[in-house]
Amino acid sequence: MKCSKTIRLLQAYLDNELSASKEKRLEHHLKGCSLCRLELAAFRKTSEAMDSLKGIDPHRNLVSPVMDILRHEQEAPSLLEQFVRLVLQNKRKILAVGVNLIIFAILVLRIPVFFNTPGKPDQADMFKPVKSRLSPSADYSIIPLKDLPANESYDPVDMVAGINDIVDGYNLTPVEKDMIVNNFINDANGFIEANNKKNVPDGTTEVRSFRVINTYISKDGKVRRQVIIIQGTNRETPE
Amino acid sequence: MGNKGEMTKDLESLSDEELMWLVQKDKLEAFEVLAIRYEKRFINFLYKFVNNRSIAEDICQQALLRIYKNRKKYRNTGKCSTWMYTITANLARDWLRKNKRFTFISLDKPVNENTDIIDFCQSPEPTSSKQLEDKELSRMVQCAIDSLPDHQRLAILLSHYDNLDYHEIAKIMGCSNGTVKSRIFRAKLRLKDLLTGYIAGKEGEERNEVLENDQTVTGIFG
Repeated sequence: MKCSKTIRLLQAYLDNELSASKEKRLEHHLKGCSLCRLELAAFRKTSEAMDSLKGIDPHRNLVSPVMDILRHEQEAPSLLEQFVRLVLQNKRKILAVGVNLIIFAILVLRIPVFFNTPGKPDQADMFKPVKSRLSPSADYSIIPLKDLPANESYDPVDMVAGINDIVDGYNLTPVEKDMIVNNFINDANGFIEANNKKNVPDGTTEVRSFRVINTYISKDGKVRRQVIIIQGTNRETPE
Repeated sequence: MGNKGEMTKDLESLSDEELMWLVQKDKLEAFEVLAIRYEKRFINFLYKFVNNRSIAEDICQQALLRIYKNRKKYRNTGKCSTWMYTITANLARDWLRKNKRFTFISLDKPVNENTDIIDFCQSPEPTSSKQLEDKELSRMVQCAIDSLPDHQRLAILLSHYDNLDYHEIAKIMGCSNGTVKSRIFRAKLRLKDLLTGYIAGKEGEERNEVLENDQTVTGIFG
């Protein structure tokens, strides 16, 4: 048995996964080969080192906020669900009207986003990252958080108003604002990026990303939904 | 109330699959028992996977919500735990894919540049040098795990810490048993390479004892 072949078998040997004959041949090789013995010791030590990584206990109760949310949803279909159901029942009509409206909006109103009109001075301002109070030197900034209505008034309409209030206070483009609000309403998964690419004169691309983190926290025995918006700017150089 | 307590006790004696059967019938009490049963396993897996407690806790809650919302999609053909792990692992991988470029920020505590994630997670101050050494070793192990590509990281975590077998991991990762084996092997190989230097340094004095009078070994450990 060669050393190169042995190496592949060492971990399996430690895990007692080798057939009797292979094990015998491996042990025979190990007897004569100090390097492979050393490798075996290193594999064994690695497993031991990995065992030193201990488990953790959650700092907060994770299950009960989840249960509160599920119980609430099961009790009554939320306004949002009722709305979604209504939309699904009439989706053809809504689609037809929607498509017409979009075409109308694009052609008649000439929405700047679709036509990429050259940047106005106030648009340049919009790209200035909001300086974070927490860590002003960092390349990201955190839009201050605000607790949204507590459990008993878990009402999507209130929350949409709440998030709109938060978002309104910042220099966001309408598209970014839409993305953030939609992500928040959908709550598909907590981590969503809204990318906005912008070419910088020196040839690099500036990407501004927002990450919306929807999180449920339990405070004073109440479930609160908290939203955190993190804004980051990355410069990408062309390949 | 007495009845409720008794019912929970009954539920606790059920297997995962039996509980899942009840969950599919919209029994929230059964889901609670199932969630509590898996909470710690998931949080430990996620913590090692993303190396951030708050994010691990968030993903864990999302996973529980998603498991409940997708309860009708569970087919009683395999172990319930495998199916639940699949959902959790997918969320964790999604997160990792999307957030590779970002710095981790704790959502619960003020951001402090000197705050080490591992430091504040391991609560009591270590007193003896042995504890300090253990802490340093686990920090090294976590760093080494962080440096693995995510499919290797997932495979090694599930096999080493969650004690899942190749077949289950293959189901979770959506690949063949052979691929799982090779991912775990590569991960072990890399961890071994990354950690050997550290382990050897720490055990400099014990070297002879460990290697049993072997004269040729200093080449690697030295």
